[in-house]
Amino acid sequence: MQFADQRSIYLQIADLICDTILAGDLPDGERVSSVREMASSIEVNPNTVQRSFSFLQDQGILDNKRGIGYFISQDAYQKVKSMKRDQFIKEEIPQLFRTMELLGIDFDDLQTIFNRHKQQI
Amino acid sequence: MTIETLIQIDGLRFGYKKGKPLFSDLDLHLQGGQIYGLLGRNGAGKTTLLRIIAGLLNPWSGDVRTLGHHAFERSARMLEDICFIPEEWAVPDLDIQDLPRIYAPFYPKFDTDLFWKLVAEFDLPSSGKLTGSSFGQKKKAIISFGLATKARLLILDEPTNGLDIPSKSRFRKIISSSIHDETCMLISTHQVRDMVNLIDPLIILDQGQIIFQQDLATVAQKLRFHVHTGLQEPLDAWYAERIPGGYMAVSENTTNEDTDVDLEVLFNTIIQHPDRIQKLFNA
Amino acid sequence: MDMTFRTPIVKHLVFRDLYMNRKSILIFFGVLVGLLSLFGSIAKMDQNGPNPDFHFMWYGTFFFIFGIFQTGGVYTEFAQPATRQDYLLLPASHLEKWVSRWFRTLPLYILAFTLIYWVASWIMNLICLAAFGEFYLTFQPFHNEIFSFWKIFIVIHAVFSIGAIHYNKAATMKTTLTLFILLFAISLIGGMTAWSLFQSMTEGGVIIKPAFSFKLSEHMNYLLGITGKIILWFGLVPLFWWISYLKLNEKEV
Repeated sequence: MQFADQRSIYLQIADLICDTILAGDLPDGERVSSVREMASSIEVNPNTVQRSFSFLQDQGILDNKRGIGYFISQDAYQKVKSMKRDQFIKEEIPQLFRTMELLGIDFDDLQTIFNRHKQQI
Repeated sequence: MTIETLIQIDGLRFGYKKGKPLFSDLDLHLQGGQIYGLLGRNGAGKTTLLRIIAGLLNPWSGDVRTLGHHAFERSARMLEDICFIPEEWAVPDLDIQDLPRIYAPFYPKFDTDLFWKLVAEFDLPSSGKLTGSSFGQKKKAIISFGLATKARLLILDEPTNGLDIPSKSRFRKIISSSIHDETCMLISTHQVRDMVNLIDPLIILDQGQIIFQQDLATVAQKLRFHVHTGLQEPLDAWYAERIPGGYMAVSENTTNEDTDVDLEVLFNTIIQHPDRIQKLFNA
Repeated sequence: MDMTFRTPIVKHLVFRDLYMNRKSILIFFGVLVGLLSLFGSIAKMDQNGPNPDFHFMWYGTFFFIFGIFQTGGVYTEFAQPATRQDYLLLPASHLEKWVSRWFRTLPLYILAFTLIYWVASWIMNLICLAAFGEFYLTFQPFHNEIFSFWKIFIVIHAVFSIGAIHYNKAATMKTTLTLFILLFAISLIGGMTAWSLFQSMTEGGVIIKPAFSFKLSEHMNYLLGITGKIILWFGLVPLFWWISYLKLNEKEV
C-alpha cells in the first residue's frame, strides 16, 4: 500500500491559499497579506512563502503589483477550481480506485455510499 | 538588487590544541536575506565556528571576513552590526529596564520600541531583576534585545534551548518576521524539530569541514522523502528510519515530485552517506 | 588595528562599569568609613596627642590596597568564558574599552579615592568629636607625601594592567606572585653578577679604596636614579600600558 507523500511546504502553503479561495474567503481582486505577515503567522521562512506566492503567480492565481503587494487575480476562483478538479481526477481518483480494488469495493457500492452521504447532508 | 556576501571564510584552520586542528581548510560563504541553519553532531565545532565568525577566536590561518571586516580585529563597526545570542547568557546584575539603557548606546540602530514590543510578545514582565528569572525568561530577554539591535548579522547558538512550547512558537513567529534582504541569521541547533520550516538553507558541519550547504528547494529536487509502509526497508532508499507504520525513507528523486524535506532524516542521510550526497548535489 | 575613538562611547563604558559595580562602590565606601573611624578612635584613646602621620599612613595603605585590587580585577569579566565573550563583543573598539578602564582605574580612582577618604576622615573626626569632645586630625589632601603615593601608584598600575588582561582568573594574586618571582630572579641574577665581578676584581689584585668607591657609588646612585626614573616614567610605564592594550586586542574566549 502506498500513501501520498507529504508535499513540499511551499506547495502546502499554496494549497492553503487555494483552499481559502475555494471557500470564498479570498474573493477575486482581494489583497493577500504580505509575505512577512504570512510567514510570521504560520511560522515559516519568508523565502518559502515567497516561493509559494511566485508559484501561484505563475499559475495566474496571484497578481504581483510592484511596491504594493500580492492580489488575488480576477479569475482566480475559476482557475483554482479547474486546477483542483484536474488534481482530483489525476491524483486522488486513481488512488481511490486502487484502494477500492484492494478492498473489493465496486462502483455500485460506491454509488450507494455516495447516495447515503447526500441524504445525510 | 544585489545580495551581499556577509560572511566569507576561506581556508580556515583552527584548533584549541597545537597539532590537533578542529577545522582544516574550511570554506563558508553566507549571504543576506537568509536564515541559515547550522547543524552538526556533538563536538563538531558549531559554537567554535560561530565564535570565529564573531571574532572571538584567532584562526591559525585562513581568511575570515565578517560583514567585510577581518573578524578577529573585532572592530567597533563590525561589532555593532553583530548580535550574538549565546547558548548560555552571562546575565548581568540588572533590571530588564536597564538593558536598553546600559547596552543600547553601543548599537546605533537600536530600536527601543521594538525591544518592548518583543518583550510583550514573549510575555516577559517589563520590570524586575534578570538574575532572578528562569533560564527561559533570560533567553527571551536576550533574544528580544538582540533583535532590537537591528544588527545585520544575527548569530543564535541553540536559541530554543530552555524555551517552553508557546515560547518556541513565538520565537519562530518573531524570527520569520525579522529577516530582511540585508540581514543574515545563522542559527546553530540540535533541536531541528523546533526549527522546521524556518531554517533554510542548511549547513552541515562534520569532521572539520562544511560537508553540506544547500537550500531545501534544491534538496527536494534531488531527494525524495517518502513514507514506506510495510515491515521491510524500501530497496531503493539511501536511508530509512523506522516510524510507526513503516519507514521514513530517502531516495534519489527520479520522479520530479516535490516532497517535504524531513530535516532529521536528511541530516542522518548526509552523515551516513557524505560522499554519495556530495556526488548527487555536485552533479 | 581599529583605532576608533569616540568620547561618548568611552563615557558610556565608564558609566556602565560604575552602574554595574554600584553595590561594590557603596560597600567600599562603607568599609573605608568604618575602618578609619575604628582606627581613629583607637588612636585617640591610645595617645595623648594625634599622630601627625596618621592620615598618610592610612591613606597610603588603603589607597594602595584598594588600588591594586581594583586595577588587578578591572577585567573581572574575563574569569568566565560567557562573561568574557559578552565583554569582547560589546560594540566598542579595543582602544575605547582600554581607555575607559584605564580612566576608571587611574585618574578617576585617584580622584574618587581621595574624595572618599576626605569624606571618611570627616566622618571619623565627627565620631571622635561626639565620643571625645574633639577632632582627631584633619586630612590634608594636597601634600607632597600624597602626590608621591600617586606617582608610585602609576607604576604599580602599569604593571597590574598587564596582569589584569593576561590572567583570566585571580589576576591580582597571580600578578603579585609573578612580580615577586621576577624580582627575586632579577636580584638573584644581579647578586650573582656582582659577586662574580667582585671575585674577578680581587683575583685580579685590584684594590679599590673604600672612601673613593663610596663616593663613586653615591654619584652613580644619583645618576642611576635620574636615568632610572626617566626610563621608568617615559619608557616602562607607557610600554606596559601599550602591552596591556595589545593583549586586550589579542584576547580570545
